[in-house]
Amino acid sequence: MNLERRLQACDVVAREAQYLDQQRWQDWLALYAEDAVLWVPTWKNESELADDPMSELSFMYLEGRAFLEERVQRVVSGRAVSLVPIPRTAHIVGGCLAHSDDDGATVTVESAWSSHVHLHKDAGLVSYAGRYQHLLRRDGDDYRIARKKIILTNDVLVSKLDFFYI
Amino acid sequence: MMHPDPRQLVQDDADSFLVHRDIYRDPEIFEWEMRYLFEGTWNLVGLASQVPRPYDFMTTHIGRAPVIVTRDGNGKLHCLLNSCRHKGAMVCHRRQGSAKNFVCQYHGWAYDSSGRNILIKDRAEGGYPPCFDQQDHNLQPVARFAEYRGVLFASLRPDVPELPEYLGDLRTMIDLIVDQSPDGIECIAGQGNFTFQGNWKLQLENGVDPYHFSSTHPSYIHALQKRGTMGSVYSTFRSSALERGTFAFEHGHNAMWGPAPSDKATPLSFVRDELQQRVGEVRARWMTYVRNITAFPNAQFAENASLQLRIWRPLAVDRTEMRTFCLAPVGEPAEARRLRIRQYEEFFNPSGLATPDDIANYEDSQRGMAARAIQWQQGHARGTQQASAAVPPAAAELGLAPRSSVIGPFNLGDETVMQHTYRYWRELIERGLARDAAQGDAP
Repeated sequence: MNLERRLQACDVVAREAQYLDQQRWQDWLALYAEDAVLWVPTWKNESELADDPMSELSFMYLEGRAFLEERVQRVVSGRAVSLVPIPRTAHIVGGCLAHSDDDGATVTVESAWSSHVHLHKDAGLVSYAGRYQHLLRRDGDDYRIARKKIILTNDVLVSKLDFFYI
Repeated sequence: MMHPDPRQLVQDDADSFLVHRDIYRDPEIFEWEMRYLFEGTWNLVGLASQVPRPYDFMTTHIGRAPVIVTRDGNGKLHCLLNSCRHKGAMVCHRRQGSAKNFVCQYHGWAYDSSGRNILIKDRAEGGYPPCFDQQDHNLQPVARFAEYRGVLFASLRPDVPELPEYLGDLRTMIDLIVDQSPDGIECIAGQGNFTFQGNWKLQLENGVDPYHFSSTHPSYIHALQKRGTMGSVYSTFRSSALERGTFAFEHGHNAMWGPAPSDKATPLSFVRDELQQRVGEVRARWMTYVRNITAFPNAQFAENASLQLRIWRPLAVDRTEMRTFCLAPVGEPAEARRLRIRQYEEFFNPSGLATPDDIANYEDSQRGMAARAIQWQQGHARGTQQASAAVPPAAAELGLAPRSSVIGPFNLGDETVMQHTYRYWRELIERGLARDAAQGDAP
């Protein structure tokens, strides 16, 4: 994979964080392929992550962009008690490592992230952290997200979380 | 208030039933609850299927006390206080696992899987007084530990009713869960745990509150309606033809139920024929109903398009820990299991489309109740005209005799189901306070 594609792939990961923080929901959705999977596994115990979403519990397992659109709709609808007013987030993504076995047709980007979520009421600030694993697929001149796995380090949630918190 | 009187906190007159807001916000009342409810009666601690093999263990709390549920080498279950007899340190440090021994990390005292002390490090050189040999050095078992059909209950106090008597009619509601497979139920691997900034009774009440659904969860209902073809147990929630009901049982337990408008999309529909043959038409039909039940004081099972066990631990008057588990019949078809998990995640998860809105409401209620000028809740009055001590056909067909039932149209939204729970709440606190006063032992 050449340097240009490597940079392009890491750029997608950075742009995703930017779109979430700026609540540019349509731009965020456009990063995802139609058949994309967004997966946040639970932990089975202190050291083992759930690894089969068909037989083990996930915090989220959204298969297909239509389910991401449903989540966005919930945020912008003003009908979800927990999302009025919409919390503000700041994602920090670092340590991006991109590799490809097919000269950049598909690229896996691994990274570490943390997110600070400002909840308005009580001036509450909540932090979540973990690792991302993005599987990107070449689509024309750019990459789209085919699959994203979010490993959540602090799995005892502070009340709740939504897709854009993490 | 300086010295609250439990009789003044739950006012129970012929034509009105009122709960004082201090029960959600007063630290002294919280202290009573820990002492006389959570540390004073039976608590649901988990399922036997969470510790299936010899030497399996899991840890939890009863009130403030950390406990280990452990299966010894002979397969016998024990519920032990997770505290070394020497200096008090916890001897088990993981949520669950398998261990033949529990060794204290502090001074090395060791216990076997039944809690028996098997080592006091350097005992011979220790110069212990003779009376030391007379002391019990084993991990202390809880006062009472019993099982109802694979559901484990424990009490820190010995003076509680026998478990079958304590559970009463709730046993039948538990049967409707356990009997969903000939081999019982299991916890699906993975947990969704969280804490919230609110009193534990906000969860207790919400779990059997049919009134909140249409106003708390419109975004969830909207999402399901938009999916259209997928159907849902909630997509026809306004249907006036639907009846829903509540049952108030003895000892604070209760149930809320409603026939599922459509069971096309539920995991149990995959095994409907097997269920009917094994448990009969009535119980098989009840298994498809939307049902939430409370095992007072610390747990609820909730079933709609999937099945949840939620166990709460009050941390402070305004802070609660929730441990939640996705339950499933053992051996269900893989396709049903997949559907169950997805529907669980989107409804029950604290990262789903519905539960975050419940939690937001608990926290908003707690914030709002900081307005101390308002003393009395208006939250337990709906259904007063319909509440009846007569046994309705819906209860009779299950062999139940609730203390009180309300059955009516979908939008009735009964709240009286909590009245018996709060009467028992008051009874336990009054009894505990009287007992401590007699012993000169204030909390």
